[in-house]
Amino acid sequence: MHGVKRVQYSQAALEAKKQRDHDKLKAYLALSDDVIARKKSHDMSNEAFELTTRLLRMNPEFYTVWNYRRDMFIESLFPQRSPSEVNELLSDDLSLTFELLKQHPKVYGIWNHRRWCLEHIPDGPSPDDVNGYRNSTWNKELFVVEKMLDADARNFHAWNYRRYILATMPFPPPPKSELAYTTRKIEANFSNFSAWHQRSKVLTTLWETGELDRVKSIEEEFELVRNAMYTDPDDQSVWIYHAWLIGNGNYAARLQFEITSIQELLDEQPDSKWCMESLVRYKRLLIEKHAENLGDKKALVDSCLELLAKLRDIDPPRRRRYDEIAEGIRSGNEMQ
Amino acid sequence: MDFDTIVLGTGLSESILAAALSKAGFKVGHFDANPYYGGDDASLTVDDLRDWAESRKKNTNTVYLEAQRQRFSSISLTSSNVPRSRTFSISLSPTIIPSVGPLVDSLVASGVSRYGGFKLLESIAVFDQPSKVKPVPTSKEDVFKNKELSLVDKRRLMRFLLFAAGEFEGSNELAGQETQTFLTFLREKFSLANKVADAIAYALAFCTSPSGNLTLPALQRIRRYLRSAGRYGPSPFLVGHYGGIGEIAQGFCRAAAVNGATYVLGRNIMSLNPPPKSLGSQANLRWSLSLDDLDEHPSSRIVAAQPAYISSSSPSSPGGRSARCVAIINTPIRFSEPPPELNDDVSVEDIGPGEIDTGLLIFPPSSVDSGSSTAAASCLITGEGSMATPSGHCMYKCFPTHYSYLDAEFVYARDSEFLNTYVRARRFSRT
Repeated sequence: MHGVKRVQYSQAALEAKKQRDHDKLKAYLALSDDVIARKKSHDMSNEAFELTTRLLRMNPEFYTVWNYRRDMFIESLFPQRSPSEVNELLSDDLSLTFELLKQHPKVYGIWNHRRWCLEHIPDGPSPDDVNGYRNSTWNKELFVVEKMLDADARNFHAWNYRRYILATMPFPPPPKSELAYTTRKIEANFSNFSAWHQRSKVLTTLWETGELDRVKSIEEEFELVRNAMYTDPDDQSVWIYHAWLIGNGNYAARLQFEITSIQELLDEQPDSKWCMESLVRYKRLLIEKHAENLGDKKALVDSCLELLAKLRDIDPPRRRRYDEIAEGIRSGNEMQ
Repeated sequence: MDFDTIVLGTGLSESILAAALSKAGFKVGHFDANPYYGGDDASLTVDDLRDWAESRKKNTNTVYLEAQRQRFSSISLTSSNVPRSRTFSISLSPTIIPSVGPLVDSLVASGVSRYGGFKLLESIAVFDQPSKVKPVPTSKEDVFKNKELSLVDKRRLMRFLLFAAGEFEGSNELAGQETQTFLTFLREKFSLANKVADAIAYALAFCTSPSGNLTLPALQRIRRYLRSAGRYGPSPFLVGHYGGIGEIAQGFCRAAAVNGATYVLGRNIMSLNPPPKSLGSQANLRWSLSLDDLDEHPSSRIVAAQPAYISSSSPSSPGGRSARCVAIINTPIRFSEPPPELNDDVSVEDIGPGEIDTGLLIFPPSSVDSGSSTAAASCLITGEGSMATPSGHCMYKCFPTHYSYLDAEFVYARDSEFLNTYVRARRFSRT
């Protein structure tokens, strides 16, 4: 989990831990051998089902056993059962996965199984209300994923799952409400690439449907990201979002404005690597796309090369990259 | 009534001392002339506060009451009726507790934290002319969301906060500046704008005046508070339920009593009698107390007392006299504008903070017309949330900015030689 320190054990504690682990390991291996043997022999009994539950609680990453469990649902547990019983079984598995997710928030197998359960909820409870079971379960899902994101706002599994739910649930909340959710998460801690990413997806939808005026919205986004930039120039996710907003750089006035703003920030914080890198990137866009309108192209080129020289100094591991960019600027310049 | 130690006064320091000594196995006799726990730190109902005021105004015949009369040299109380007066808990010593520090450690180690509840201070704000209240940003989140600061101000403030939260001793910025005036340091070394520097100095470092506060201690205070943020919630400070440290002092008394201390409240101490000058063994050198309307004379080898019980004239404090005010109001205070009209798309949770239940409002020097230009004033706002008032009311307690560094260690001492016992309960306060 983000921000949780690894526990350091002393020598004595390590020995004790080894002993405890040894016993656990023995029990685990016995159980896992048993379950795999049953799977091979196509054992679809209730007893086998219970054993998979035990095994998955010990090791939820064992995806083979999740598969086996799903096979048992389909082949032996669901047939001959009423929709309400099937719904009951799936609800139990949703509870199980929720419990496991609290301990293991980033295991693909658990999230996977949860999706499968949701997709297999039967029609019911009655012929007049075929979506009753589905609706009530799906509505809870958003709540579940919000709890996971409260615990760790940067868990990309949870964000992926959130997108899946919003795309699949019968009555999703409107995109503007999702925008407000990303605003909340970004305000709480803007060092959160997933939240910015989600924001970019939601905004694109809102622009396409015309619910939000694109020009005004982009201006507001630049303001938001500028605040974040000035508050913490070292945060990478902010610069990536800024680059997304700039896009292909076809709008020269916007490029100029942002370059000025970032230069002011660099004046305040002369060691900021991201400021320098972004200035080079945007100045290059100016050179490449708006050459005919530029007054003093040479000054721009020179300032890029100067920035790249400084970057080499403060970010030595990437100096060859900066060299290559400088080469590209020089040769592009000569060709013209 | 033979004790190992007599403690006079049930204020916070004295109560911690009594609890520590009792836990360490000493027989403690704890006395207070007032009919309540807490001494000068007590939490009182409105009626108790009236009685308190009365007893300090009239002519007195004990050392303690005379000391109190000199200390509280001018008291005025409204005569208007306060509805539901019994449900108010008014603290004589408004206090906020940093989440990281010796008092919290003592509360937890002694178990006294279990006796009462605490509320997180919601917000700290600064008063700015002509009538604006501005919340003080103390975290990256606050700075990011703040609508008042310019971008450059935000960058400089963040740079300062990062500096102040880290190991600044021996840093370049601090070199040679340790005894510089803090406000000057902020303006010169971090280029902070005046209003920002004021907010940091008066509302985060709790400086008292434009020129009196030195850089190094101010930075150390700020670091303590920045590191306190996040422990129990976003704010660095806790406020005790039912009026604050009065309850905590009482809690320590309870801990002392549980470990065998004897309590006598509400009897005037007529005299404190030093050991008789007689020949004989050292062990018979005992102090004794004469209490009003009590035949027995409690005695002990050691007496630890709040200074008011020893001498009527308290040592003059370096900061001079100060004025305090308690105001009970029935309109909530807002630190920020109410949110604009919402459309249906936005969920209710997006509303920012509005009415303050538990907050701190600082008035820097020169922030109020015809107010002081040399001293800052603080206002602690407490309401229903900290059980200080009934619903619909809150209390607005103003006092000069006054930082009280309570240094108390609750350590179990087994050493029979009391004077070497590893217990310290000191309270530094600057008014």
